[in-house]
Amino acid sequence: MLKAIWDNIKGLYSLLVGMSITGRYLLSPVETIHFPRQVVDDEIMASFRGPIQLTLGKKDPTQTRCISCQMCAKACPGHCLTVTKGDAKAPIQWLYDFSYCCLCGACVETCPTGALEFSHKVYLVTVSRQELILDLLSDLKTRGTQLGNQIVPPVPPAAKEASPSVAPASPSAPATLAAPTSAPPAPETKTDPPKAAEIKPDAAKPAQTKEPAPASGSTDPVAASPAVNSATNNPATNNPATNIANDVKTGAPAQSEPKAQTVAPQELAPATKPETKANPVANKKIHDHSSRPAKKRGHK
Amino acid sequence: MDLSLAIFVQIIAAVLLIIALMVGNAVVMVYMERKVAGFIQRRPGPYEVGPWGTIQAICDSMKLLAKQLYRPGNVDLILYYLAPVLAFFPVLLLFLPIPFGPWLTALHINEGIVLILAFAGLGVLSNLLAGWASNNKFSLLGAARAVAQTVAYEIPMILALLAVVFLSGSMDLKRITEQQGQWPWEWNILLQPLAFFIYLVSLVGETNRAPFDLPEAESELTAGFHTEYSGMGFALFFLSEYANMLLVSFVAAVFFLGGYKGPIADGFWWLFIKAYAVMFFMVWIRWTFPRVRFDQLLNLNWKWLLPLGLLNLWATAIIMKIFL
Ligand code: SF4
Ligand code: SF4
Repeated sequence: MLKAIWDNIKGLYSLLVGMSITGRYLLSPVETIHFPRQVVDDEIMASFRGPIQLTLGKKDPTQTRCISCQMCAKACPGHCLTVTKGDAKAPIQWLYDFSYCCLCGACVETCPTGALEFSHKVYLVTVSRQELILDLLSDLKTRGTQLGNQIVPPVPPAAKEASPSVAPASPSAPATLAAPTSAPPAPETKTDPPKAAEIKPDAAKPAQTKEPAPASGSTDPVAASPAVNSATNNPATNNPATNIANDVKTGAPAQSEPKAQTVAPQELAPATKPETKANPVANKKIHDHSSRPAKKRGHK
Repeated sequence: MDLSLAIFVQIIAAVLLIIALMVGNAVVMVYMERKVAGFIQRRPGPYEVGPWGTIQAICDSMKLLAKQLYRPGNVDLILYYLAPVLAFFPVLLLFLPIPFGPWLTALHINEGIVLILAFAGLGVLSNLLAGWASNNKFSLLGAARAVAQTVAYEIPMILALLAVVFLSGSMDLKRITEQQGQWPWEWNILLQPLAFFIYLVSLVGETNRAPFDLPEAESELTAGFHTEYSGMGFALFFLSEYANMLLVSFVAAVFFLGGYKGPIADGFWWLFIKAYAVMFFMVWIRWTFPRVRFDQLLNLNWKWLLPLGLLNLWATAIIMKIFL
């Protein structure tokens, strides 16, 4: 009896402790980050496991380390990976269907050459499922080019048409699905607006970097790229090894002129032709978001 | 009391004001509840609609008004529609004897607290009817819990209030207020701390709020007795729940916290400040404590609150007899 009473008094005390904790939290500042107005710091993003991507090549950042062994495609529980082997070991097409991916990481773990990794992309918005089928090879090319600031041998127009990202003869289902006969003619690659809307707040960065690029980069990275290219395109920058560290910091979307036309400006290039209908909307959205001045907020 | 025309007009005006008060209270409480919940969990709560999200509650109530009143197939038609109405109207009556100020009482009667306690019991009848008429096992379980819980928690509540009634020798809410002073150390809470504590616990049980919200435990019974209600049917239950909260907070303020009396100037503002402080406390504990089990709920009531209430009443009676 006495023990029961004592237990209850102790229980009451614990209730008071609980209320003091919630009371303290009530008075402490909120932790929420209001997305369009504020963004999370990059250091915190580094621990974010976003859609997978191919790691940059060791010698040449645009070349994948993948040897087309198909281990990842077998390990994937969602069957989202399609690796097509070419004549050599290197894959000629690397498709990733993000709409089925559960971000389990099995592919990253099984890859014998370490060719896969998680990206830190959190601002991924699309308006259709088709756009979630990502061509990681062209994505790798884009990133490698941006990072290394190097001139990739210009792709002839014919090869451009035959490149996996637009090839109608591609064996994968998404590519054939995306080419309906009744669809209006697809726009040229050059005027093709960014589709897999990689809303990257950093797109506003070039204006703040050390690069002598005009500030027009705040709305469209591609528009700024020729200028950046002319400023930095000297023989010394052709060596990717010396430039990676430099450009990781600045994050300047420097691209050689031919690449600016062949490679879509966003980091995750869609594997399929976007439907022209949705283009203006997606285009508008992206520009709205990326041109908004994003206020950084520490997450302490 | 002669029911002259003047009193009739006075009551009609009071009822209209009380309806406005109930609706306004629901809007304010929804906003407060969501904001406090947000801040306790360190997020901002309603934020986007209006400045600091203040319009959010109004938008939500507009949405609720515009919603379809969906009625499931096998309900008991009359009881199904009677239940929300029955939940709403007794609450109107309960606000009548509350003294809002020295000259501001809708209906001044000698046994105000008896009226309140008697009609508060009608609320549980509506819960029972709603659960029964919905023809749904979740609703029925919720209704059964509501009845068991409300009946149980009414007893310590009455015992706690009775101690104060002993102290002041009156059941008239206005006289109870008048016997307390302006300053906090002159209030009944200092004379009857145990009764106040018992009342505080049992008012949470009486209004079916967390941690005693078993009749509508979301994780177990979807929504308990009002599972099958949508649109205005649900809105009436919702309104009456918040109005009940306001009512028990008013009673707590009148009985223990000096009612409309307060430093500087007496008036209804003090009653509202005190009542909302009690409501804030209720919201605070809702977002602090997990829901109790049903046996714990009843054990707490029958094994602790009831004996403590009886002891307190007994001690009060003896002290009153000997010393006064
Ligand atoms: S993370 Fe898992 S689900 Fe996603 S592609 Fe890799 S193996 Fe497949
Ligand atoms: S497991 Fe690695 S090397 Fe093998 S196909 Fe997949 S990405 Fe290429």
